[in-house]
Amino acid sequence: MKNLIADGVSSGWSYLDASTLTTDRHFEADIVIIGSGAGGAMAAEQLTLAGFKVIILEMGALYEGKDFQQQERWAYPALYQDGAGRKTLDQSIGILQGRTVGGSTTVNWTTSIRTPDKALDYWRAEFGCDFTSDNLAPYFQQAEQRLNIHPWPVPPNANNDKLKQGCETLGWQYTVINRNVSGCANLGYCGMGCPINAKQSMLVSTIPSAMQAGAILISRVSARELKWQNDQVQSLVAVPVDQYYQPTSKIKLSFKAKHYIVAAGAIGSPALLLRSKLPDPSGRLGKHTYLHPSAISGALFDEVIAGHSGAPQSIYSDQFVWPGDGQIGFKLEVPPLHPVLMATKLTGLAQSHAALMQQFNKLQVIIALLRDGFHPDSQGGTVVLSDQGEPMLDYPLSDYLWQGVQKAYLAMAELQFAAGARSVLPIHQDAQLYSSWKQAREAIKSLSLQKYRATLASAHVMGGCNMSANAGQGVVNLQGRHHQLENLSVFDGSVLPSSLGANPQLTIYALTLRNTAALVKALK
Amino acid sequence: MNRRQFIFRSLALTVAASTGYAVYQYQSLQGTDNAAVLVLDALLPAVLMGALPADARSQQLSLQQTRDAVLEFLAYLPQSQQQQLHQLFQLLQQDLARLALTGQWLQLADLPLTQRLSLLLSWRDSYFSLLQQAFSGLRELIYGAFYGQPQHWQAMGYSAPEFNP
Repeated sequence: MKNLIADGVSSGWSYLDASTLTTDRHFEADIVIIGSGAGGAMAAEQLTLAGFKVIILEMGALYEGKDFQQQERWAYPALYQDGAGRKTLDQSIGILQGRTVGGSTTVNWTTSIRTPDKALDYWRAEFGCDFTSDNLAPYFQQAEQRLNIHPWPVPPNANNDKLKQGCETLGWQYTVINRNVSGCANLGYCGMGCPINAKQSMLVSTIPSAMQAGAILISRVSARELKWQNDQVQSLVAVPVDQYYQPTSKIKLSFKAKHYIVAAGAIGSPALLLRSKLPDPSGRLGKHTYLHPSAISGALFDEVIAGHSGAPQSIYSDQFVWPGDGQIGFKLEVPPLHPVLMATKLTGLAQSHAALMQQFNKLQVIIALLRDGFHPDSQGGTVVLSDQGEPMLDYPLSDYLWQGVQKAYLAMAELQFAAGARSVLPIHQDAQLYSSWKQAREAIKSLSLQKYRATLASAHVMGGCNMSANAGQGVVNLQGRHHQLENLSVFDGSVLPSSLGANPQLTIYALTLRNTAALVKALK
Repeated sequence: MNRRQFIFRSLALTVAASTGYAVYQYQSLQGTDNAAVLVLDALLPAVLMGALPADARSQQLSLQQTRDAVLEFLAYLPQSQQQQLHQLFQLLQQDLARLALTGQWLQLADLPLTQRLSLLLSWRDSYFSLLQQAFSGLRELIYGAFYGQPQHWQAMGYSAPEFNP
């Protein structure tokens, strides 16, 4: 086991931790990429191999393989936005988002799903996108080969197996998940950074490859403003972050490049464009941000579940994701069960909470990811800037969404009982442990559908710089190029015009590969 | 808040400051928010009822470590959220002080745990969005800090592998 990047740096790769700087610095390159996640790093490899001089900027720190500790108290502050405490503006939805070299790919649960046809159809109808599963297939294949994405051949852990069993009993659809792993030991700690380099995140694939070919990586740096004039970005100003990842003001880093790629994630990218006061004639910059808001249902089983152990996600069910009645759909998956993640999400207080935690190993948990953004009553959230210029996501919860939450509680409870649960607990302040499906069904129908009562979480942030054929309908064009500024692209989840009804990493990889190929052609 | 409530609150705060309040001045973490320390010290034993270790000495240590872990975590939140939390802790401190006084307890430390729990639940069920947020935010901070510590995993039958000790 090696620390690929650290070893490469010892042998001469270019790496800088911006927080160690004591004087201002200026850099020049062909292409500056802001963000080292699924979009930024995938583009970095292709562009470097095509012969461009590339600089990759990352706000988080460089941690890899041997640095990862299998403890949430280490991993969350070190690897996640706001120490994994990121929330929407009114605090009603928790957001898990990576902030480290490799971005969310360093901490995600490895689920790799091609963009659903129904999402592509919607983008074509509403935003003039020209994608089909056929014309994207070469890019999906390229990403799948690059990251060894394949169906997980190992039997699911008990947490996932209960999802499967419930589906089998009820005759509901389910699928074995494709994962981007190689030599995976089925540990269950993907969310804290893979300690054995098995997860094929950007950290072990495209970033080392780009650096080997000459790309410069700068960590702990926050991009503050794109300076622009007429239709050109002139330069980028950035600052180091401190030990708590707060931007500092003493030292400045400036960058001049022929082309700039923003890939700071669907909250960070719109924030940078907003801070830079970029033209926004469509009025959509920072708007229509989607989250797959997720409702949660816990269940207690007689047997041991130990949901912390084994691949975190290996089964999903699409039984309810595309209902024909115009209602919001939801995808059923499970999360890994670790103490902090569970203790903070589970309901109950004092003894009731402690009693639930004591049955931790018998707990099974399902999440229902609401497919937001395909309906007039689901237009997503808006990124606004705080007084300090930091992004805050205002995400209102509509009745349309709440109806989906209620249906999701019902489906999850029915499934958990069908899988043999002794009792089921919808994660809602007013809910209790119900001992039968009949009892749960009645109780769920009377749960108040209000923020703070229902615990909602998100691990997928999408939109905010959406792509569109027509400049009046989006921020970037179908190649991810900014509609107004000629030498600026956005390559990350923020270009998506809706949510996906599927985990986003593979969509981001494929679109980035496609758009990077077009960019290479255009710049050569 | 009407004028009468305001006066009452101010009075409560003054009296609290002259009696038990000083006990909660926390020394070891420099520059920390005293209101945060006071609120956490008052709420932790209530929120963690049933989860704390049995013997008094480990219980005390556990409470202190959890409070410190919460305070350390706050630094990772964005500035705007830290400011909001600071204001929130000020407000909650007043609520706690008022409760202690109206119940004739001289110090917050004497306030029964059940009373502290009721106060928390009243925030959860309040009409004010700010108090609802306070309930869920504090709950999350406290449980996150407590269950992040390996010494609290035994009761759950959880242990983590150590690949990179």
